[in-house]
Amino acid sequence: MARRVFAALLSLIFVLTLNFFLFRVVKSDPVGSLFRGRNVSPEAKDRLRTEFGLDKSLPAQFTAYMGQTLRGNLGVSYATRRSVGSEILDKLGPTLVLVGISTLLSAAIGVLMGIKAAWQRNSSFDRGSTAASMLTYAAPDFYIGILLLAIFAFWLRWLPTGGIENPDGGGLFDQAKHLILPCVTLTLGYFGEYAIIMRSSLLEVVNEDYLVTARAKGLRDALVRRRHAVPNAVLPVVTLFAINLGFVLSGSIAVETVFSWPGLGLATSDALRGPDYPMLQGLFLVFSGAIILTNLATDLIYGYLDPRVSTS
Amino acid sequence: MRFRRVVGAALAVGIMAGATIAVGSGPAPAASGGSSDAVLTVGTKQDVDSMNPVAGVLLSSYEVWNMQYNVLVNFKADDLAPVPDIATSWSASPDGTTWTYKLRTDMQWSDGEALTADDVVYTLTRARDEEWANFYPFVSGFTDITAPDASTVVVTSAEPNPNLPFIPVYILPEHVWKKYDKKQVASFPNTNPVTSGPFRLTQWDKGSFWEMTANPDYYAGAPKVGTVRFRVFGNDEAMAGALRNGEVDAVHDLNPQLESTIDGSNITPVEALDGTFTQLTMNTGSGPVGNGHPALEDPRVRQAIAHAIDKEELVSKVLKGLGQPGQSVGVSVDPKYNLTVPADKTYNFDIAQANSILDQAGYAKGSNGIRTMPDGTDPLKFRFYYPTSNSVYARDVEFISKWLDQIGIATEVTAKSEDELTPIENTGKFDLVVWSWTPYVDPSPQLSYLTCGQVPETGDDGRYNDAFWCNQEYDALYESQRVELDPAQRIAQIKEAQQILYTEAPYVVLYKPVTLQAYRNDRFTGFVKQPADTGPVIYSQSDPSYLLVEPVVSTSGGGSGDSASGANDSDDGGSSSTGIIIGLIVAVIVIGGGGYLIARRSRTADERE
Repeated sequence: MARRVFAALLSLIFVLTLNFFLFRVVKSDPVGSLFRGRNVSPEAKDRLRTEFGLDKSLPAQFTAYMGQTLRGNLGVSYATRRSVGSEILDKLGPTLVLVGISTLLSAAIGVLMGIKAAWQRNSSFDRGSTAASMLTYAAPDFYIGILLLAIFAFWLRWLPTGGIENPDGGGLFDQAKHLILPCVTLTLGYFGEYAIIMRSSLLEVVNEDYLVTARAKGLRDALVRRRHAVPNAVLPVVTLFAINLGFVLSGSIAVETVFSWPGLGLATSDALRGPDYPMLQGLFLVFSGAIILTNLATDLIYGYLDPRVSTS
Repeated sequence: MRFRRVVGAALAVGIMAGATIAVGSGPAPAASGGSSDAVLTVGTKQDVDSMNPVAGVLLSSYEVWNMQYNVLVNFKADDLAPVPDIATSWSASPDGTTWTYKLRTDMQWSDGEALTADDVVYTLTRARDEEWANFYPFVSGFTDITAPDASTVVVTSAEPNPNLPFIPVYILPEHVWKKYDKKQVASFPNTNPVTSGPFRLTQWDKGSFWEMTANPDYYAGAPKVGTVRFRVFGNDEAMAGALRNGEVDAVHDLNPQLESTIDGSNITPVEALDGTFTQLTMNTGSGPVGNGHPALEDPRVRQAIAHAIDKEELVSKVLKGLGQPGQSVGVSVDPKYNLTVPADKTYNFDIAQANSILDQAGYAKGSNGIRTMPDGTDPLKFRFYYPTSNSVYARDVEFISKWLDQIGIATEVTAKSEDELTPIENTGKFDLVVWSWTPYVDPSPQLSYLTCGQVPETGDDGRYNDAFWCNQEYDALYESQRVELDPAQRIAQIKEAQQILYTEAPYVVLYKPVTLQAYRNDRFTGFVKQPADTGPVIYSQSDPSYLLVEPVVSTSGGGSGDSASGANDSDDGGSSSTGIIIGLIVAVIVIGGGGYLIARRSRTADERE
């Protein structure tokens, strides 16, 4: 347990270091691109470089960055001049709602479909759901998004073309309406993954002796499935869910773009243009931190789900 | 008073944020007087980066400032001529170095304080002394800025400045801005601004929309719409769909390829030219840094290349007709400054002629079909770069490489992000580049970029001459037009300089692309192009449209949409976080309930077996 936590901390420090150098591999000039095409005196640019700390040597910049990050200060965005922490907090909500809800939905739908498909192997439900899973899983999510947008927003005009709420202030119902299309898109895009993995994992255990025993005891089919088959087959799905949960924060750049959803995914693509170093470092720290944390949590939960896995 | 960054950067989609910024807690102007309660909704792909005119750089930020601040002298809608704004009249001393502005005395800030000459002097002086990047170029030459009385401002320059009376600096309230010193001023968010203009920011939901409310007490009369709302879109298709659906009434910067999807009698498309041009830049090799190919130092090689480029074909194939073939360098948004090259001096597309120019100049073809320098060394194989910021550049380069191949010039094409390409250009480590510029109204800056003084000397000195081109005759014309006070003389000198540029061909201007805007003519009327005929209706120099648009009086009792006729509901900002929490709870209930129902249904099915 302590070792796992220590390993997680170590990866976090590694990520901090990597993030800093990763964005500086490509030689670029954030101050220059901030003012490209405008008549700014070299002195004014130099002053801004000093303000951003870009005039210092790379090791000095790195020390400053590590120091302030460890103190919980993520710096100030070059583009908006607001603190990176508050910029990220602003965008956290929309992403959390969209990707969180769709991750839960796709996992729930996918797992239930996978169970049913495996239990009724070769039935028409199995063939249909497997085909549907493959199809939606293979389709790029932005493509599904554009398709849904064309049908439900442009053609039928049932739902809005994007954004998070109507500027008129439509309230909760209005926000829900805006959420439907992007959420359905992501759910469609990801439930197949769960369905396919749940199905194949369950198929691996259907012929196990303990299931024969369970049936021989006279248990109802549904009980055999629920109490004996699924718990033994659910581990790969938990892993997948945990990984996807880690990615909830990084959002979906493509779907957020299609539906003009103001979340962290779009903030990332935006920050890359500067490049807005502090913003990128802050975002990637949050993304990798979320993945490292969920992985740690999964590791610990594994021991509970499957006593064969030791957490010592 | 809008200055654009190069096209790629201007396209930057400023999608950010989620939470509502608390704005408008001050005395918000109520929509009364001349304003109706109509809401004009504008679709854009770019959020505001900062509401603070000292910090923001994006076009959307300028849109806000244009609507809520005033300048001394504004641009006229149809021809960008000077018209009164804060200043009612102005005069110059005979030598053109001292300008006197007489100010209105009836202007008020939104917090009730009077706008006086002191605010003007304060803003101009601070912009100069602290080198506020957005405004410094317009005030840097002032040696003296004074207010002899409350309604007069006098500025003095060391040398005559033909741009005056224009000083495109938004005048800010001294009593607010003096609270922020030089270090603090850029981080001041200005989201609850004290303003003087026809509209005022009342809400900003970062990444989603911002809202401007009409100022009923505006000196020139209240705007005819009560509210202008800007909605930020993440992609073009959604924005076009929203215009068709009536979710928005006007859109800015729609992908021109989508023009066919918005045709309809109730939508007016606007193909606007903003001066932007795309050029083939050649590294002509002057200056201490860089390693450009020696052949490009020879004007004959550059002229041969100019003959080998079919600009009409680029416009029709790459831009699908949505642009104008290139002439000389466009130096201004204002068409009167831009040269139309006379027919007898035009480099027509003619591969045979291009080949014969190169043959005569001694660049013989080698056995592999590639020409070499006259002394037989250095094959004409050019490093050819383009930025990935806009997909049309890749297509341009594809066509140009094909044509160059036909005149015995090989290319080695590399795509780079704008950030990576900028240092490559500045250090002269290239031969050819395709990229764009967008000029200001004032022609001087764009002209200055190709003067000898702008040739980079260290690679990071922030100079702009990316063709590394130096021509004394051109420089002399640049210097004389910079202080020429006779408008006709100045235009003549500028056009002569452009002709030299065209003939010497450090740039081959490929085309001027249009920016596509559109509006719903069945909902709003009164949009004006600035400048007339060629310009945009919104996101223009001074945005006259917002003061003039008014809702179309409906004869059929309202259409499918509602934003034109809908009442201006007050917004319950801050509901988004509660909404998020409730949304999560609902989702959990839905998922849990659904799962339970499915489980139950399958149990009964099993029992039936």
